[in-house]
Amino acid sequence: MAEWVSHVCLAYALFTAAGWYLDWLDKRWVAVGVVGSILPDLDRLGLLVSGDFITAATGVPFEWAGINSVGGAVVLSAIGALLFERPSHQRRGFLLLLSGACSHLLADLPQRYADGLMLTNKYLFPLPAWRPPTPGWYVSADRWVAVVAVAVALVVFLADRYRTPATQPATVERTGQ
Amino acid sequence: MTRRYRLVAVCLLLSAAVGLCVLYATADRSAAPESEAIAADPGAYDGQQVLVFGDVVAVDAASQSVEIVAGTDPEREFTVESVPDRTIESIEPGGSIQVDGVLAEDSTAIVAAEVVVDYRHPGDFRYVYLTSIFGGLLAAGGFLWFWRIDPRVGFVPRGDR
Repeated sequence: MAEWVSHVCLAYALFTAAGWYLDWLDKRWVAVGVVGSILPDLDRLGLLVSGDFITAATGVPFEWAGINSVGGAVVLSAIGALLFERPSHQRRGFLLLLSGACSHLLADLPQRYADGLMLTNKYLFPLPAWRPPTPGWYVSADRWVAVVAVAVALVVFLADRYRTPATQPATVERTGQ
Repeated sequence: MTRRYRLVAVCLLLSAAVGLCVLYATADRSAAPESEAIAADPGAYDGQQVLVFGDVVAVDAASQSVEIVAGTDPEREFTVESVPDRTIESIEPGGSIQVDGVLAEDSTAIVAAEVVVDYRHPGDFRYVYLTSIFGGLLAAGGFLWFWRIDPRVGFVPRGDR
């Protein structure tokens, strides 16, 4: 995992930029996509109640890592989506949460591993465990990752703010209210 | 969808999430033996190529070796040998590393082919946890700025934003 500042900043940049092309993807949906970007790391609930503890208490093998995966992204996004009141919001909510969660899984892929392969055997679950080589760009504690992510988010924030009103019909309409 | 159907659907999906964690725990997802399995029964993997994630207990620059603890239930100590100088210099007890290598000496040692340092020292863990808490607050704050949580119906947009 990269730390959450990086995940949140990259998701903010990704969805804000996507909003330049999709009229309905405004700031409140960007906020939903950003929440999606930390869903896979809900497996850190294991720091509070460990999987070993659950296994010992119930007799059923349990590993939180199961939700830090493609399957987990779909299920958690669906749960989040159902918490929206309106059906149209539920559909968009699912799309944004899932995209955010996938951005998280993708950002985690190029991390460095001692055997030189990606940890896709974990992240692809329940799809087949296939492990291509990793470029090994970073490890979780590398400070430069957050620096780059914050810089990218800032550039997108400024670009978004100073976009000419002509290409920004939705915002013009809203400020006119 | 009425409230009751949504509630039922959420419960089903929560069970599906739990199911994923159970399936994941029973599935064998890696070609090489994993840290937990090796820690539980190191003898079974003697002489094999392994990938082990472990916490650094002691660093010995003179012998280029590092003591790590791997696994959680049970924990087991391994001596990682042939660790490159640069890696030895960068790590301290309380850090965390990954080792790719061969289990040797009655499975008490790992002869390292490759070592990756995930966390050099406890300060690296602090950095990751604190930035993550901050990132989580940013995400939650951004969401609650635009959405209201109504306990009866769920997430409702704030009309004025």
